[in-house]
Amino acid sequence: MREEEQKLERLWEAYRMATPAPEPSANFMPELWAKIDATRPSSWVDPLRFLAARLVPLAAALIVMMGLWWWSPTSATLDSAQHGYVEVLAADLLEDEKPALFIGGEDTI
Amino acid sequence: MLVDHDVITRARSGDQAAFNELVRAYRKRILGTVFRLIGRQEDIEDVGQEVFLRLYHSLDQLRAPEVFEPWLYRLTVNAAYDYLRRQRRQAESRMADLSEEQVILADAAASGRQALEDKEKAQIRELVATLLDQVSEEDRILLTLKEVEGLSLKELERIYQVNENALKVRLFRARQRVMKAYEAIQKQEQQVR
Repeated sequence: MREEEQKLERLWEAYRMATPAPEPSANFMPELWAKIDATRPSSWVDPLRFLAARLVPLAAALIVMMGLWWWSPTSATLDSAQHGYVEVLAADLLEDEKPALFIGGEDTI
Repeated sequence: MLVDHDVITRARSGDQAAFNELVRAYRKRILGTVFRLIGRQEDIEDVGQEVFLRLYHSLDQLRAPEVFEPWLYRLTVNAAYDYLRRQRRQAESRMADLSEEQVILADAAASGRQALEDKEKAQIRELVATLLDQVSEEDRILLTLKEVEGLSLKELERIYQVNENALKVRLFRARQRVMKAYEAIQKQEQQVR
């Protein structure tokens, strides 16, 4: 081990001796409990406040998502409220002109 | 362990008397560790109380009483780390003033053998504080736990939750950095003389 390293080892040792564990003061426990009391929920209002603080953004996010879904093109259906009378009528006529769906084979019934 | 597992279990389930017992058993040890980690006597109790405050609020997350001590050390390290970062953010001039003030106080009190010993201890603390100020908070805490607190690699592994090899690398690098700082301080002292 180099001389400097040995010196540093001795310094750590000396530091350990120079920093003994201090006796806690008489105020240690009362002050600690005062800090604990100051940080924990004091009444039934606090849990509600805590809940509300999380529910409000959640509700807002839900509204935004529902709004986006409502206005998105994929959610738009072919109803008469969003299309003109003529367009809906034309779509109906096209449906009527389609051949009837054949169900079953020749030997059925 | 300074308390039975039963005390920890009861404290974890919200028993205030058990929590008090826990604090009373560990507070002196924690204050000593805090003293060595932060190096400032005037703030030891504040940081120590912060440790037990964090313990109070996180005790329900403790998996088993067997891991209580590494858990408490981890909280101590985190509280000391937060304190040191806050301190570093403050003006360095204030730190220098305080250090000078401590030296002046030690000088004024230097009469008789006890006072001389106190002065020597104050000088050692001053030197180590200067040395550790040259490295990061992470290095400072790791080295203090290993070299001053005398924790084993196994204990450090449980506190830092990293494997032995990673810890050895971190320790090696921290030692190199602090050695560099120490050599620089030694050179400066030789130049002054």
